[in-house]
Amino acid sequence: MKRMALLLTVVLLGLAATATAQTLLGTIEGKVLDEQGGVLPGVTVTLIGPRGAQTVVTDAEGVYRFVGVTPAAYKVKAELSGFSPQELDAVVSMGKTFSADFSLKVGGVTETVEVLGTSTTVDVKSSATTTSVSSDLLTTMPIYSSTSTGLLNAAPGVSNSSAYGGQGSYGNALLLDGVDTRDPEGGSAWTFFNQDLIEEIQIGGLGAPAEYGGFSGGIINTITRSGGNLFSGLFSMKFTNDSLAGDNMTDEILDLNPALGAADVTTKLADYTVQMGGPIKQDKAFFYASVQRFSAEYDPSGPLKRRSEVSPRFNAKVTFQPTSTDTFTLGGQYDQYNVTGRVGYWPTAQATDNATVEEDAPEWVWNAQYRKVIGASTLFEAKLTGYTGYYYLDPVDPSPVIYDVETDAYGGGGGGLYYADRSRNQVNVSLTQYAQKFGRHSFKFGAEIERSHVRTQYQPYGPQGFYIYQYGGVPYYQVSYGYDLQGDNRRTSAYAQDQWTAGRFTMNLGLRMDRIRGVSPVLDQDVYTPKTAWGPRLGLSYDVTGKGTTVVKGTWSRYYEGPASGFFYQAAPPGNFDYVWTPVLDYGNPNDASTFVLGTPDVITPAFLFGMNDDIRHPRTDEATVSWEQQLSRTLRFTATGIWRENANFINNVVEGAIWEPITLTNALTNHPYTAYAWTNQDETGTNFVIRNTEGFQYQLSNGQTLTADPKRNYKALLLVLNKQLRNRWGFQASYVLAKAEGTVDNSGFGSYLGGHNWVSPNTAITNTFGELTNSRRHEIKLYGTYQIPTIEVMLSGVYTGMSGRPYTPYGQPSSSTLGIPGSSSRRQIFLEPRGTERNDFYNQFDLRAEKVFQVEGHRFGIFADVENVLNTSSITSRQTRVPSTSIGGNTVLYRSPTVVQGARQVRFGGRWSF
Amino acid sequence: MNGIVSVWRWRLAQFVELAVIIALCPLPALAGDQGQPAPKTPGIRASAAAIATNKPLEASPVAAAQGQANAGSRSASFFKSPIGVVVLATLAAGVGYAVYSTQNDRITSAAKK
Repeated sequence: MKRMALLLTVVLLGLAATATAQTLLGTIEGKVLDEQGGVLPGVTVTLIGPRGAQTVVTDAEGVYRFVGVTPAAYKVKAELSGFSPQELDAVVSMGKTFSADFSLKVGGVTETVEVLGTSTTVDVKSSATTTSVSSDLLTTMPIYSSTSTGLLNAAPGVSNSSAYGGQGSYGNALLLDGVDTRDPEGGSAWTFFNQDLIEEIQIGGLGAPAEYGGFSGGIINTITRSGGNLFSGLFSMKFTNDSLAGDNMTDEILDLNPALGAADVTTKLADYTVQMGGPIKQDKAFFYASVQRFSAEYDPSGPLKRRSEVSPRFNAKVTFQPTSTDTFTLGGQYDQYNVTGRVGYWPTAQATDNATVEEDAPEWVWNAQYRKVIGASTLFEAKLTGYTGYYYLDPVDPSPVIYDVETDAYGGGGGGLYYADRSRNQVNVSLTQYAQKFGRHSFKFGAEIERSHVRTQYQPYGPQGFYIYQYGGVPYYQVSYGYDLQGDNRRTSAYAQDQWTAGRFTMNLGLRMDRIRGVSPVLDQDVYTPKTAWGPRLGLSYDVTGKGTTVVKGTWSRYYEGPASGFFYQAAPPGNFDYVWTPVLDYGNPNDASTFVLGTPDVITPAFLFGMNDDIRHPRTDEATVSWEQQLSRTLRFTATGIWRENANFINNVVEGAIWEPITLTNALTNHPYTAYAWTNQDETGTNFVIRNTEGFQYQLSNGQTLTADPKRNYKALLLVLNKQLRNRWGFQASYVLAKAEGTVDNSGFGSYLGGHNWVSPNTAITNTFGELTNSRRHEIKLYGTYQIPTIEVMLSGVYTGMSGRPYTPYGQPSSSTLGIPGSSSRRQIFLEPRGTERNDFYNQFDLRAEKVFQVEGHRFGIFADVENVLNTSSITSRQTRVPSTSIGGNTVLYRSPTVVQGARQVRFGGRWSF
Repeated sequence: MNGIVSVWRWRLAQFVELAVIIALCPLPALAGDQGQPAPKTPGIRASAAAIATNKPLEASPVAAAQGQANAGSRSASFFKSPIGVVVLATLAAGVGYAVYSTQNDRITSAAKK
């Protein structure tokens, strides 16, 4: 989408962190010493924050700790009779520990409190690699996203929602106030939220502790704002239109693909937010409420001319704090997602306006949490979170889709109706215990129960619900099929972890257990029963100098993917409908089915349920990281991280008993012969689909030989990050990533990972399938910077992204009769070169924001202008890969022609009023 | 394409002029916390008093003055002030239009009618 987030400065706040945490809370701890370094027990330490103050006393070793601290800015003051008090500012982030030591000086009664600076920026305890983004940075940078995955793309090593080589859009854990908001069908983003509502975002997934699970890519953990003792509010507005957009569509690009037409621009945007928080009762009860109305229209490049979205969103949160140790939170969100111009059945690059669907997608999200602080060392948390919603897609044009097999051209209507219903509920409980025995321990034990429901229905539209297949403009079949896929995910998880610090060493040890079941709601029985998943987490960090300025880390982790009904729901009723082919014997108008003379319907494939392998294992990722963090100054930090990842337990569909005959075809790219495989006994085995791990599956050839499936995916990378905190009017982050993702299972899209057909035949499972994957960016540069111009007090913020283009692979598409493979054309797309041999343009984008801020009696007013793609570059991000050509909008578009170009330069104005 | 580029450049020039005018306006300076000296804080007695009343402390006399200016934002009486009325009116307008949008802009699937 046009309004996808670009980039922002990500700042690792100056915190010594525990492992990244599913918890939304943080900890403040430290030691109080005297000037000679002696411990000071009995010191009164006070934490002062937006919801009042807490007080603890240092123990015999001079240690103090505040647990279960809501992320916010605080003051920490240490006082002891006979000593001068000291105070410092602390900013707590979720799941992190702010370490603040005091060195009190002997003094008499004084009215002056010494204010200390911030602590080091290097994380000496955590083995994980994370970045945090505060709401202040979100408001400063030219950032704009309605989805958490859009913000995930801001982190080094992440692009196109593929994190560290993981499955793009489907492999990430997306947590919103502790709620996993992913679609339980396949793991894509489900909940869209108001960016102005965000308090903080934490992006991780490397060296993640045991409390994190259900991902194979990255983690994005987002918390929303809460009320406090002061009334606070935010009113914001953003707008743009097509008069503020440029045009980066060059003549060269249009010559290759005239169907691209105009540049990809936002023709209209009006997005406003009103929100407020404050006390219901001082120190006891607080509220926060937010209302947003997002309205946008787009003119995408290509045959599509218009797409629109109107989304009103309502959020409310209430926090009760009856005692200083008990906190209850209740929250909810209701939003609508009303979209026109969404592409339906047609391929995106070829879709016209009449081929689109209208989307009706409301959702309700709820959240209830309780936390109990027991003493200074124990924290108990319980959460009940969930959502329910649907998205229903109805074609604008209900007439049948027309597909020409010879030219790959689409015509007619918008395909079928698509109705998706979802619900998800989750209970999390955890106990955190700090202890000192043979060093310092931070134990955490937890359990989770998830229940989610998926129903996805698809049916071709039209009088009888069918598509028209043509060859060279002559109709030869009407094809009808559909499905009603239902599945329930049931997960029970438990974990135990310890952060054990002894001297300069810290070990982060953990073990996670996930028991996942896929259930048929119709049969009320398990259909997917993978073995229990055990995920050990081992991490070690060493404070090299003992001063918290240099740390080396190493981790080894095993992550398991979350439950997804896409793995199994084809094995549950109702499942797929009859796949019916009816021959067209004669016709009047080749595009008007009412003029057809039809033959006897030929049921190619009657409705059947896929089989399920009993010995199935859930997909997993093994990871090793090595990193070095160095504090170069109080505000400057450098990090180098090496990453190795390997995936296993791939699940997909195979056909047991199929016999494949080697045949010789001509490679349309090289004119050389190559071997393909024709299904010789499809009539007998056409319903023998089985869902299983594809490792070691053997394809039987008609000559008695076998071909063995070898699914694999691995990722290697070196991340270099240099970060300067925003001080003295400027700050920046520069990162460079050298990476490679390769294998035989692509990391883009749904079908290659869940319920697809890539492993049905050796043509798509073995032929040229090993190589560099779609989401493999060899080189990635991300630069963020901000500078506040003195005197005129204008803040300039810029973001630059430079990345190697995504690899692509040319394919040929033999006919169904040649390969004996009916159905979807994707089953017959055979790579003509090894995967990833070709690469798109190097991608460049520079975005800029200029903001003028005024302060009037504690009210902050800001007006800003964002310029996306300042240089108006036109990187080609996707190309036509069918050899020799395809048809788009009536034009013959050759292989390698551009089909997607980055968005044109566009200015967006905005204003904010906050208090 | 040349015509489109010319229009865009004209609009950019207009924007730059407007931005310069705004930036040079003698308006209150940005009260950011970058590059400012660490302020002195209240003493122990004030701290104790604040803790006893369970109220947050002010970071400095300047902040305290600001706090006094913002005292209205801590209590419901803030909303009776002129700025508070504007806040309420803005909230009402924003919420009201969003509620109206839930009906007026709603796309309802045929299956839900």
